[in-house]
Amino acid sequence: MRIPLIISQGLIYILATIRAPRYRIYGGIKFYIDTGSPKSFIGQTDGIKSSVPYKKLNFKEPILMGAEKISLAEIQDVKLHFNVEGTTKVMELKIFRVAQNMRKQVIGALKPSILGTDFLLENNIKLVVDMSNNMAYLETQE
Amino acid sequence: MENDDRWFNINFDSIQKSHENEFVVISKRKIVVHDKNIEKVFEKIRKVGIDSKNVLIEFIPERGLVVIL
Repeated sequence: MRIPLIISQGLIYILATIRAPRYRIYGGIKFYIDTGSPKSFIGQTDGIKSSVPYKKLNFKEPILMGAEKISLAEIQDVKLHFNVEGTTKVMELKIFRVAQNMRKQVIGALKPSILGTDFLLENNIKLVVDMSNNMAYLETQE
Repeated sequence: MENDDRWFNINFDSIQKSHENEFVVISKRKIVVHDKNIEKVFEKIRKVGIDSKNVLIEFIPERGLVVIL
């Protein structure tokens, strides 16, 4: 199955609804496809928006994103819902991650949610990108 | 959120002219909240009474600045 991606301003992303009932996490999220990231995670802005219970999570996995140090916590039993031509494609993930910025920034900056190479590998998904034709999609094995 | 995202992409240039370096919250193809401070954005969302779960929140970089992940 092909899941179309959106290309805008040279960035490639997908809109998804995340559900993780165990944590009462629910919300619409813009995930940027980033083959430069080995980890996938929900960024802090989307996390607050989706009611991520930050105080209950164990942030123990520090990573460096550009010049910004962030920390990741695992969440289990996550479902990502994608809209594919009017129908909903649900992807079940045993483990996903939530990011928390280690430095408090009052003035804004992009704190994106990322689908990285681990997402492609663990779910056996191909990423196809044709920038010259403004086309990109994920291809699952179904 | 799909319709709001499409509206945002189509209107990005005009949004950028008036909201450089701000977060904007888009709901039903309108900017309903904007602020430079993300914490204030969430405060304003609560005050306006919008459910944050399905709105689009975007940071608008200053003109000429390319966003790299």
